[in-house]
Amino acid sequence: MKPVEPWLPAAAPGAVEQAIRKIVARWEGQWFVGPPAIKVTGQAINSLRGEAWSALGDVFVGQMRDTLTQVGLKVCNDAGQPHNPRDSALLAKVGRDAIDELLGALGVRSEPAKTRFETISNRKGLLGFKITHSVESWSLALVVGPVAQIRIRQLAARSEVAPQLGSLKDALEVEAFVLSAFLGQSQLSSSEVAALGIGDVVMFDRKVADPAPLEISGRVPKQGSARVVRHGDVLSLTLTSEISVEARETATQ
Amino acid sequence: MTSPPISKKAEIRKARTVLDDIPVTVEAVLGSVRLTVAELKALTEGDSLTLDKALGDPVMLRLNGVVIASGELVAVGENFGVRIQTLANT
Repeated sequence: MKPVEPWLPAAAPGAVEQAIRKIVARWEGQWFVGPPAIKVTGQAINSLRGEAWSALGDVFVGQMRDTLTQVGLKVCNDAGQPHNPRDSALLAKVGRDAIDELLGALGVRSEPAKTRFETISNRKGLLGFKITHSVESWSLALVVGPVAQIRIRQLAARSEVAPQLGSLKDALEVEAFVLSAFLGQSQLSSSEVAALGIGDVVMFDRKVADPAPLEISGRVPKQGSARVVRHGDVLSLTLTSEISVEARETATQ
Repeated sequence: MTSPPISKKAEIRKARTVLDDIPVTVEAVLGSVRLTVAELKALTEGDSLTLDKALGDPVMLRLNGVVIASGELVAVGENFGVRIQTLANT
Protein backbone atom coordinates (compact mmCIF):
# COMPACT_ATOMS: atom_id res chain seq x y z
CA MET A 1 0.00 0.00 0.00
CA LYS A 2 1.28 3.39 -0.94
CA PRO A 3 2.22 5.37 2.18
CA VAL A 4 -0.02 8.27 2.90
CA GLU A 5 1.81 11.52 2.87
CA PRO A 6 0.87 14.08 5.47
CA TRP A 7 -1.76 16.41 4.10
CA LEU A 8 -0.74 19.33 6.17
CA PRO A 9 2.33 21.27 5.17
CA ALA A 10 5.01 20.32 7.67
CA ALA A 11 5.99 23.90 8.30
CA ALA A 12 3.04 24.96 10.41
CA PRO A 13 0.48 22.20 10.89
CA GLY A 14 -0.95 23.77 14.02
CA ALA A 15 -1.63 27.06 12.34
CA VAL A 16 -3.14 25.40 9.32
CA GLU A 17 -5.41 23.16 11.35
CA GLN A 18 -6.49 26.17 13.36
CA ALA A 19 -7.29 28.01 10.13
CA ILE A 20 -9.29 25.05 8.86
CA ARG A 21 -11.23 24.77 12.10
CA LYS A 22 -12.08 28.45 11.88
CA ILE A 23 -13.27 28.09 8.30
CA VAL A 24 -15.29 24.99 9.08
CA ALA A 25 -16.91 26.73 12.03
CA ARG A 26 -17.99 29.52 9.72
CA TRP A 27 -19.34 27.07 7.15
CA GLU A 28 -21.34 25.41 9.84
CA GLY A 29 -22.81 28.76 10.79
CA GLN A 30 -23.93 29.30 7.22
CA TRP A 31 -24.63 25.86 5.97
CA PHE A 32 -24.63 23.07 8.41
CA VAL A 33 -27.02 22.17 11.16
CA GLY A 34 -26.59 19.00 13.11
CA PRO A 35 -24.90 17.37 16.04
CA PRO A 36 -21.19 18.00 16.29
CA ALA A 37 -20.40 14.28 16.29
CA ILE A 38 -21.74 12.12 13.51
CA LYS A 39 -21.79 8.43 12.85
CA VAL A 40 -19.88 7.90 9.68
CA THR A 41 -21.66 5.37 7.57
CA GLY A 42 -21.61 4.18 4.04
CA GLN A 43 -18.93 2.85 1.83
CA ALA A 44 -18.32 6.22 0.28
CA ILE A 45 -17.13 7.82 3.46
CA ASN A 46 -15.58 4.66 4.88
CA SER A 47 -13.43 4.40 1.80
CA LEU A 48 -12.00 7.79 2.60
CA ARG A 49 -11.31 7.09 6.23
CA GLY A 50 -7.69 6.74 7.02
CA GLU A 51 -4.87 7.84 9.16
CA ALA A 52 -4.53 11.13 7.31
CA TRP A 53 -8.18 12.11 7.84
CA SER A 54 -9.56 14.04 10.73
CA ALA A 55 -13.13 14.94 11.54
CA LEU A 56 -14.02 18.51 12.34
CA GLY A 57 -17.66 18.34 13.27
CA ASP A 58 -19.45 17.10 10.21
CA VAL A 59 -16.64 17.86 7.86
CA PHE A 60 -13.70 15.58 7.23
CA VAL A 61 -10.40 16.94 6.16
CA GLY A 62 -7.84 14.69 4.64
CA GLN A 63 -5.83 13.57 1.70
CA MET A 64 -6.99 12.12 -1.56
CA ARG A 65 -4.68 9.14 -1.92
CA ASP A 66 -4.88 9.07 -5.66
CA THR A 67 -4.58 12.77 -6.23
CA LEU A 68 -1.31 13.80 -4.74
CA THR A 69 -1.11 16.86 -6.92
CA GLN A 70 -4.70 17.92 -6.43
CA VAL A 71 -6.66 19.87 -3.96
CA GLY A 72 -10.08 18.36 -3.92
CA LEU A 73 -13.38 18.83 -2.21
CA LYS A 74 -16.12 16.25 -2.27
CA VAL A 75 -19.57 16.54 -0.91
CA CYS A 76 -20.84 13.01 -0.52
CA ASN A 77 -24.49 12.29 -0.82
CA ASP A 78 -25.57 8.66 -0.85
CA ALA A 79 -29.09 9.48 -1.98
CA GLY A 80 -28.26 12.56 -4.00
CA GLN A 81 -28.83 13.42 -7.59
CA PRO A 82 -25.36 13.79 -9.06
CA HIS A 83 -26.58 15.43 -12.22
CA ASN A 84 -29.17 17.71 -10.72
CA PRO A 85 -28.07 21.16 -11.90
CA ARG A 86 -29.58 22.86 -8.87
CA ASP A 87 -27.66 20.64 -6.44
CA SER A 88 -24.51 20.99 -8.48
CA ALA A 89 -24.78 24.77 -8.53
CA LEU A 90 -25.29 24.86 -4.79
CA LEU A 91 -22.36 22.56 -4.19
CA ALA A 92 -20.25 24.54 -6.59
CA LYS A 93 -20.77 27.61 -4.47
CA VAL A 94 -19.80 25.77 -1.31
CA GLY A 95 -16.80 24.33 -3.03
CA ARG A 96 -15.51 27.48 -4.60
CA ASP A 97 -15.83 29.57 -1.48
CA ALA A 98 -14.40 26.84 0.72
CA ILE A 99 -11.42 26.01 -1.37
CA ASP A 100 -10.57 29.64 -2.03
CA GLU A 101 -10.67 30.40 1.66
CA LEU A 102 -8.69 27.31 2.52
CA LEU A 103 -6.04 27.99 -0.08
CA GLY A 104 -5.80 31.52 1.22
CA ALA A 105 -5.29 30.25 4.76
CA LEU A 106 -2.61 27.90 3.52
CA GLY A 107 -0.84 30.71 1.74
CA VAL A 108 -1.59 29.43 -1.74
CA ARG A 109 -2.96 31.87 -4.24
CA SER A 110 -5.92 30.47 -6.09
CA GLU A 111 -5.43 31.14 -9.75
CA PRO A 112 -8.50 30.56 -11.88
CA ALA A 113 -6.37 29.31 -14.75
CA LYS A 114 -4.90 26.57 -12.56
CA THR A 115 -8.11 25.66 -10.78
CA ARG A 116 -10.70 23.37 -12.35
CA PHE A 117 -14.11 22.67 -10.93
CA GLU A 118 -16.17 19.62 -11.88
CA THR A 119 -19.00 17.65 -10.42
CA ILE A 120 -18.26 14.02 -9.77
CA SER A 121 -20.20 10.86 -9.14
CA ASN A 122 -19.47 7.17 -9.08
CA ARG A 123 -21.23 3.88 -8.71
CA LYS A 124 -21.50 4.32 -4.97
CA GLY A 125 -23.75 7.30 -5.50
CA LEU A 126 -21.33 10.03 -4.64
CA LEU A 127 -22.61 13.43 -5.38
CA GLY A 128 -19.48 15.44 -5.36
CA PHE A 129 -17.59 18.38 -6.42
CA LYS A 130 -13.91 18.27 -7.14
CA ILE A 131 -11.53 21.13 -7.43
CA THR A 132 -8.25 20.46 -9.11
CA HIS A 133 -5.51 22.84 -8.34
CA SER A 134 -1.83 22.31 -8.85
CA VAL A 135 -0.10 22.82 -5.55
CA GLU A 136 3.52 21.81 -5.00
CA SER A 137 3.64 18.29 -3.61
CA TRP A 138 0.74 17.97 -1.21
CA SER A 139 -2.94 17.50 -1.57
CA LEU A 140 -6.06 18.10 0.41
CA ALA A 141 -9.65 16.97 0.31
CA LEU A 142 -12.76 17.76 2.26
CA VAL A 143 -15.76 15.50 2.68
CA VAL A 144 -19.00 16.68 4.17
CA GLY A 145 -20.79 14.11 6.30
CA PRO A 146 -24.39 12.90 6.17
CA VAL A 147 -25.90 15.51 8.49
CA ALA A 148 -24.52 18.28 6.38
CA GLN A 149 -25.66 16.50 3.24
CA ILE A 150 -29.22 16.49 4.50
CA ARG A 151 -28.97 20.16 5.34
CA ILE A 152 -27.59 20.97 1.93
CA ARG A 153 -30.38 19.02 0.25
CA GLN A 154 -32.92 20.96 2.32
CA LEU A 155 -31.36 24.22 1.28
CA ALA A 156 -31.21 23.14 -2.34
CA ALA A 157 -34.88 22.16 -2.26
CA ARG A 158 -35.88 25.46 -0.72
CA SER A 159 -33.96 27.85 -2.87
CA GLU A 160 -31.41 27.91 -5.62
CA VAL A 161 -29.66 30.73 -3.87
CA ALA A 162 -28.03 29.73 -0.62
CA PRO A 163 -28.81 32.02 2.27
CA GLN A 164 -25.90 34.00 3.57
CA LEU A 165 -25.98 34.84 7.22
CA GLY A 166 -24.80 38.27 8.19
CA SER A 167 -23.46 39.19 11.55
CA LEU A 168 -25.28 41.17 14.21
CA LYS A 169 -22.42 43.65 14.11
CA ASP A 170 -22.96 44.24 10.38
CA ALA A 171 -26.68 44.68 10.91
CA LEU A 172 -26.12 47.27 13.59
CA GLU A 173 -23.68 49.16 11.38
CA VAL A 174 -26.19 49.78 8.62
CA GLU A 175 -27.15 53.44 8.52
CA ALA A 176 -30.85 52.94 8.90
CA PHE A 177 -32.09 56.12 10.56
CA VAL A 178 -32.16 59.76 9.63
CA LEU A 179 -32.11 62.25 12.47
CA SER A 180 -33.32 65.60 11.19
CA ALA A 181 -33.22 68.97 12.88
CA PHE A 182 -35.89 71.57 12.18
CA LEU A 183 -35.86 75.31 12.23
CA GLY A 184 -39.42 75.21 13.42
CA GLN A 185 -42.88 75.61 11.96
CA SER A 186 -44.77 78.39 10.30
CA GLN A 187 -48.56 78.57 10.19
CA LEU A 188 -49.75 79.94 6.86
CA SER A 189 -52.98 79.79 4.94
CA SER A 190 -53.15 77.85 1.71
CA SER A 191 -53.53 81.08 -0.24
CA GLU A 192 -50.38 82.49 1.38
CA VAL A 193 -48.46 79.37 0.41
CA ALA A 194 -49.77 79.62 -3.13
CA ALA A 195 -48.66 83.25 -3.30
CA LEU A 196 -45.09 82.63 -2.11
CA GLY A 197 -42.51 84.10 -4.43
CA ILE A 198 -38.76 84.43 -4.76
CA GLY A 199 -37.36 86.75 -2.12
CA ASP A 200 -40.23 86.26 0.32
CA VAL A 201 -39.22 85.47 3.87
CA VAL A 202 -41.09 82.78 5.79
CA MET A 203 -40.74 83.32 9.52
CA PHE A 204 -40.65 80.42 11.95
CA ASP A 205 -41.89 80.08 15.48
CA ARG A 206 -38.56 79.05 16.95
CA LYS A 207 -36.30 81.64 18.43
CA VAL A 208 -32.60 81.64 17.61
CA ALA A 209 -31.74 80.61 21.16
CA ASP A 210 -34.30 77.77 21.33
CA PRO A 211 -33.28 74.14 20.91
CA ALA A 212 -34.10 72.62 17.52
CA PRO A 213 -36.94 70.11 17.31
CA LEU A 214 -35.89 66.67 16.11
CA GLU A 215 -37.35 63.99 13.91
CA ILE A 216 -36.17 60.40 13.59
CA SER A 217 -36.96 58.85 10.24
CA GLY A 218 -40.17 60.84 9.93
CA ARG A 219 -41.31 60.48 13.53
CA VAL A 220 -41.18 63.19 16.14
CA PRO A 221 -39.84 61.89 19.45
CA LYS A 222 -41.80 62.89 22.54
CA GLN A 223 -38.59 63.88 24.20
CA GLY A 224 -35.28 65.02 22.75
CA SER A 225 -33.92 68.29 21.48
CA ALA A 226 -30.65 69.69 20.27
CA ARG A 227 -28.90 72.98 19.91
CA VAL A 228 -27.47 73.91 16.54
CA VAL A 229 -23.80 74.75 16.83
CA ARG A 230 -21.73 76.41 14.16
CA HIS A 231 -18.06 75.58 13.61
CA GLY A 232 -17.05 77.77 10.70
CA ASP A 233 -19.37 76.74 7.88
CA VAL A 234 -20.10 73.37 9.43
CA LEU A 235 -23.35 72.96 11.34
CA SER A 236 -23.68 70.36 14.03
CA LEU A 237 -26.19 69.35 16.66
CA THR A 238 -25.44 69.06 20.34
CA LEU A 239 -28.08 67.09 22.19
CA THR A 240 -29.54 69.19 24.99
CA SER A 241 -31.88 66.51 26.23
CA GLU A 242 -31.74 62.80 25.72
CA ILE A 243 -34.01 61.26 23.11
CA SER A 244 -36.72 59.24 24.81
CA VAL A 245 -36.24 55.52 25.03
CA GLU A 246 -39.72 55.11 23.57
CA ALA A 247 -38.75 57.09 20.46
CA ARG A 248 -35.63 54.99 19.96
CA GLU A 249 -37.53 51.77 20.41
CA THR A 250 -40.19 52.91 17.95
CA ALA A 251 -37.59 53.95 15.41
CA THR A 252 -35.70 50.68 15.63
CA GLN A 253 -38.79 48.48 15.35
CA MET B 1 -70.55 73.93 -22.93
CA THR B 2 -72.86 76.04 -20.83
CA SER B 3 -71.67 78.12 -17.89
CA PRO B 4 -72.98 77.18 -14.44
CA PRO B 5 -76.01 79.05 -13.14
CA ILE B 6 -75.50 82.09 -10.94
CA SER B 7 -76.20 80.21 -7.71
CA LYS B 8 -73.62 77.54 -8.66
CA LYS B 9 -70.97 80.21 -9.35
CA ALA B 10 -71.60 81.69 -5.95
CA GLU B 11 -71.08 78.30 -4.33
CA ILE B 12 -67.79 77.81 -6.19
CA ARG B 13 -66.61 81.29 -5.15
CA LYS B 14 -67.53 80.52 -1.55
CA ALA B 15 -65.68 77.17 -1.74
CA ARG B 16 -62.58 78.90 -3.10
CA THR B 17 -62.64 81.37 -0.26
CA VAL B 18 -62.90 78.55 2.25
CA LEU B 19 -60.05 76.65 0.62
CA ASP B 20 -57.90 79.78 0.59
CA ASP B 21 -58.24 80.04 4.34
CA ILE B 22 -57.22 76.51 5.18
CA PRO B 23 -54.36 76.74 7.64
CA VAL B 24 -51.29 74.75 6.67
CA THR B 25 -48.03 74.18 8.47
CA VAL B 26 -44.79 74.77 6.67
CA GLU B 27 -41.68 73.39 8.30
CA ALA B 28 -38.03 73.93 7.54
CA VAL B 29 -35.43 71.20 7.71
CA LEU B 30 -32.10 72.53 8.79
CA GLY B 31 -30.17 69.36 8.09
CA SER B 32 -29.97 65.68 8.81
CA VAL B 33 -27.54 63.04 9.95
CA ARG B 34 -27.67 59.33 9.16
CA LEU B 35 -27.30 57.00 12.09
CA THR B 36 -26.88 53.30 12.65
CA VAL B 37 -29.02 51.43 15.15
CA ALA B 38 -26.08 51.26 17.51
CA GLU B 39 -25.38 54.99 17.21
CA LEU B 40 -29.02 55.91 17.76
CA LYS B 41 -29.24 53.75 20.87
CA ALA B 42 -26.00 55.15 22.25
CA LEU B 43 -26.91 58.84 21.92
CA THR B 44 -26.74 60.76 25.18
CA GLU B 45 -27.14 64.35 26.22
CA GLY B 46 -24.15 66.42 25.16
CA ASP B 47 -23.32 64.29 22.12
CA SER B 48 -22.46 66.24 18.97
CA LEU B 49 -23.56 65.23 15.47
CA THR B 50 -22.41 66.91 12.28
CA LEU B 51 -25.27 67.79 9.94
CA ASP B 52 -25.17 67.15 6.22
CA LYS B 53 -25.75 70.82 5.50
CA ALA B 54 -23.24 73.66 5.79
CA LEU B 55 -24.11 77.16 6.90
CA GLY B 56 -24.57 78.58 3.40
CA ASP B 57 -26.53 75.62 2.03
CA PRO B 58 -30.19 76.16 1.14
CA VAL B 59 -32.78 75.19 3.73
CA MET B 60 -35.72 73.10 2.52
CA LEU B 61 -39.30 74.18 3.22
CA ARG B 62 -41.72 71.27 3.50
CA LEU B 63 -45.49 71.13 3.36
CA ASN B 64 -47.00 67.79 4.30
CA GLY B 65 -43.57 66.20 3.88
CA VAL B 66 -43.15 67.58 0.34
CA VAL B 67 -40.41 70.10 -0.39
CA ILE B 68 -42.13 73.18 -1.84
CA ALA B 69 -39.27 75.67 -1.74
CA SER B 70 -35.72 76.26 -0.62
CA GLY B 71 -33.93 79.32 0.52
CA GLU B 72 -31.32 80.90 2.70
CA LEU B 73 -31.42 80.99 6.46
CA VAL B 74 -31.96 84.45 7.92
CA ALA B 75 -32.50 85.77 11.40
CA VAL B 76 -35.14 88.44 11.84
CA GLY B 77 -35.15 89.75 15.36
CA GLU B 78 -35.15 86.76 17.68
CA ASN B 79 -36.60 84.33 15.18
CA PHE B 80 -35.32 82.31 12.30
CA GLY B 81 -36.67 82.74 8.82
CA VAL B 82 -35.99 81.47 5.33
CA ARG B 83 -35.71 83.79 2.34
CA ILE B 84 -37.03 81.85 -0.64
CA GLN B 85 -34.60 81.34 -3.51
CA THR B 86 -36.26 78.55 -5.46
CA LEU B 87 -39.86 77.41 -5.68
CA ALA B 88 -41.12 74.02 -6.67
CA ASN B 89 -43.22 73.78 -9.82
CA THR B 90 -46.93 74.02 -9.12
